Amino acid sequence: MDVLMPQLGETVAEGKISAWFKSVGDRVSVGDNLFEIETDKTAMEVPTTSAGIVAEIRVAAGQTVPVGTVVAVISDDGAVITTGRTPAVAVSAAAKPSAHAPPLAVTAPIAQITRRGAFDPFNEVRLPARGFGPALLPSGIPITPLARRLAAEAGISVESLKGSSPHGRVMGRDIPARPAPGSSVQAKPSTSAPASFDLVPHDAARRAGASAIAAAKHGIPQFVVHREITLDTLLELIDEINAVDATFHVALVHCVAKALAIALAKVPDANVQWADDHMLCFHQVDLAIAGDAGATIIRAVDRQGLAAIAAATRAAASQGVEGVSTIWDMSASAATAIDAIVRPPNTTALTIGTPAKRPVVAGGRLVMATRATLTLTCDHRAIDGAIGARLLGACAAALERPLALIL
Amino acid sequence: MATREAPARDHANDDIGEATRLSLFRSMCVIRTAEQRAYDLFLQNLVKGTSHLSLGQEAIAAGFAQAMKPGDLSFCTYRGHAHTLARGVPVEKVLGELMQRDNGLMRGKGGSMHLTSEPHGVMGSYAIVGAHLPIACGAAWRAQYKGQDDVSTCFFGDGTTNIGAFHEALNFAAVWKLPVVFACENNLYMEYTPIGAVTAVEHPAADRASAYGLERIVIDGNDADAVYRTAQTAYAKARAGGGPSLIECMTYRHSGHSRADPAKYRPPGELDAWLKRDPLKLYKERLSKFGIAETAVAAIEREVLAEVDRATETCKAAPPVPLDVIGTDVYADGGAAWRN
Amino acid sequence: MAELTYRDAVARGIAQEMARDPDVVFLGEDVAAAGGVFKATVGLLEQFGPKRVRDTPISEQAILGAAMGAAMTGLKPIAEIMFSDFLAVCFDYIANEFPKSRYMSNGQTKCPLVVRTANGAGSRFGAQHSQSVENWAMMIPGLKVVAPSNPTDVIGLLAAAVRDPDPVIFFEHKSLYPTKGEVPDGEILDTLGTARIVRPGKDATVLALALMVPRAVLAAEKLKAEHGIDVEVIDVRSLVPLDTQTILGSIARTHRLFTVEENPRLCGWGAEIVSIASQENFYDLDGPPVRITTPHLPLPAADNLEDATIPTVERIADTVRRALKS
Repeated sequence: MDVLMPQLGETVAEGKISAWFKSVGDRVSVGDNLFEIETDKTAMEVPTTSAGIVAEIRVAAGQTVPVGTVVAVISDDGAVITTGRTPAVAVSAAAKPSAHAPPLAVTAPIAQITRRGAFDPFNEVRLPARGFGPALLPSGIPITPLARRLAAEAGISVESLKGSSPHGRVMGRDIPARPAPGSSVQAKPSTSAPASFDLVPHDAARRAGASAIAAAKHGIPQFVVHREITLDTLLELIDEINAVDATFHVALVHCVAKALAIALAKVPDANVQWADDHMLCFHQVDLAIAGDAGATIIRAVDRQGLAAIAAATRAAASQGVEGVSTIWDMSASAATAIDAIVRPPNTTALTIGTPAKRPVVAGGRLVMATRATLTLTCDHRAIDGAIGARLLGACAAALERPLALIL
Repeated sequence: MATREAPARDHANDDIGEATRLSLFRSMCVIRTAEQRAYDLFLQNLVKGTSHLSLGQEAIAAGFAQAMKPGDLSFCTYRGHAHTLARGVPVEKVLGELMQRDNGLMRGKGGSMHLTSEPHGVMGSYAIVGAHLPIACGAAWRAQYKGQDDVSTCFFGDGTTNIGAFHEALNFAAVWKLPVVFACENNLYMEYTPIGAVTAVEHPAADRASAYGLERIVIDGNDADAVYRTAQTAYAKARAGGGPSLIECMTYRHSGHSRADPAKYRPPGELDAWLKRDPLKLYKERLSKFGIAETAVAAIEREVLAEVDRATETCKAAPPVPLDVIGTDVYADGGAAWRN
Repeated sequence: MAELTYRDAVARGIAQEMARDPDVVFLGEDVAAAGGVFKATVGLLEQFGPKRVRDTPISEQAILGAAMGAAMTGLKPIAEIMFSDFLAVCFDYIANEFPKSRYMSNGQTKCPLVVRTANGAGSRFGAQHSQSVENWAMMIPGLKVVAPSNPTDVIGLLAAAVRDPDPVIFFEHKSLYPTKGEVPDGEILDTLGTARIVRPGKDATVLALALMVPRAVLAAEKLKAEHGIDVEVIDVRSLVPLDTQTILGSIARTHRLFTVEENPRLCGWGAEIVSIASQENFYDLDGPPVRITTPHLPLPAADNLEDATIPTVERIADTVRRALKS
């Protein structure tokens, strides 16, 4: 058992042994005072932490040694244990004791730290990847860092440059390759050049809309249900309706609205708006159809015909959100499916993707069919998963057997 | 000294019971053995940094913890090993932290003065004197606000009674009637200076109680039964909506303020007098008086020593903390990023 | 859309969050029955009752300590420290307790709270009730630090601060309380750690915070009108996390950097940003970064003295013009 010079203070690096209470050969028990030490802060007796015989005293009274030094050895039988002269505990600062720096046992160099994520606390502000020459030209004229970089990137020798600043400093504008002031930055293919862009400040509407959509996305638990449907029958029906009267202008999105209204009437648990301490369960189906200029609210969609819905859609759009659901027509977007975000007071949002001819198995045979994906996003606070799936199923059924839409 | 010490009880009148008494003894024994081991490991340069031991003050930690329910919260000072162990945190986790190993309670990121074990209700050890009294008030406020019945206990030393946060917290807790118990461990020395030399009243905590409309309570902090009974009363009052209690527990620190302090400033004979009132010695006599077999007591001591031995070996074999924890848990996202 | 004062935006922001989450509670000196010394919290007691909106004694340590204990155990407190100068009497919680608990416990504890405080000059209150001390909080790892300049940002950033899982120090500017702005209807939620370009420009980047934002914008208009100098003004909004992408991206386009800071010069927030830009954007700079600050002085009380001490529109415009023309 090695007896070490203890660290008698948080900022103490060495200790002086002022007296030994035991000699080599003495028998000691746990807790017996072995020696006394003085440091720059204090003096105290040091007891043994193991029982046995003092086999060796390595540091005489009056000597000063670094913290961690083996000062004595206690053995069970009094035999000298040859552990060498190095301290049992490696203390890196022991070689150079300092009154102010406590010994710091560094177990691995900083460079071995495993990087976690993108942020490295030891490299939090990055250095430029490369330098671009000295701040003074051979002529003694100063050149700004920007001018040095632009000149180097353009391959221009800086030695003959004249500075344009009142004090003759060479500035970015003095480097010929620099684009004319006022134009957006033309990004030369350089790793350090900033990307080109135009800066468009937000107007109040965009800011409010962004705030509302962020609040909806982060504040409302939402889930999404997908369903692929066959549209051939419906598309034929739409053609027939518009053939009856070309002024009807019935389109796929109006049929989707009507189908969703029929589905909401069949699944009234989803015809709701959410509030913190209650739900509003409606007796008619109010829906919004989103367009480029905003959303158009259509009342009692469940009690209106397709032509009336199409006519209502042509009314002015508003910026607000109303009804229980908003329908987004993505059938001309070329996207297969889009997940919308439910915005309060809506509790659902429905999108229809672009219809496309696809092979499907029907009656055991591979046939071509016009298919599209319905995507329903639900506010999970108001609508359970099973209800969401049932609602989408009812909507899909109405679109695949579209006579329901005109009854 | 004790103005509210429980009257001596005979065996037939024992309100505490053998199982609880043995639990109290085991708890004190764990603290004593682990603290002594921490000191030994310090002499072997295996415990780094500073450490403040509770040798001599074990009955307070054991008595309060015994009276707590699961879910009750402890707020400790830098002299917090005892309270952490008393709530059931394994010795290995505490020694591992003191030895700055990867198996430590906070993986070396807190150290001896900041032992924290949220699952055990140890909501932190606070090294700025007085800071945790208002924090304990806040936890108690949450219980009151949410109608939860847990009580927060704030442990602190006599020196804390002269800092502003002590007085702010007592007033705040009294005005808001919070379910919080303030437990002052008066070990007679603020750090190196006798508390009496720097305090205007004899009992630094209890003599201030009346200023906040609280009862003056001074107990023998070396008598685990007295601590346990007083804590039970205070917790029952807090749970019933009766507000805070301030309890001054008289005790004595067997060692110096911190590991660097040989405590040479104490008058001759003072330590010896208090060693005669060593809380473990007193309690062994108590157990004997209540007819609990010496073999049961010896078995607890053996088991605890074995547990501390095992913990010591586990910690010695444990690796140092890997450097990649340096940048973790500064922010709630788990990292240290302050910029994008 | 409605016009709202910065002062009323504070109450609306707190009310929005208290209505949303029953765990949000609010405490401070004179905040409930009196509605706050700046009348920024009028109506909250009536709306949410004395259990959730609580007057405290004059005990700043108790206020912040109690907020921390409540935050650690499940509430989301908003604590008010009446004047930011008073952070000095409860600085232990700002410096040692809130920001260190999660780290020291190796992630076991949490501290989701907001400290709101009235910061800044312009009220002729003298050196102990007028300081800009956002750098006191900025220098401490573990805190987040926000300082809004307009009513919409007050609501949106306060909401973000309340919902943030880390301790946020929220500096409101006393001189902005009576200012008005258009505020959208409905819930407003912003994002911490985002700066905003409030006036695009190409000749220089001017960074400002809180009261200095409207002054920097006026200085920019003056520079454009009188000298044809087109500066970009950025409202830094959030000191921690710091939106260096927006800031450094702007410097990469304009090649010049100015900061407008109300704090006394040494170690103001702009010093840190200038240091980062000087390192990362060195080869984008076409001239030295320039800091426009309050001189390194205690603030005097008299109106003409105070006005001359903190950066004015004229001083901002003049400094930018001289630096760009040199």
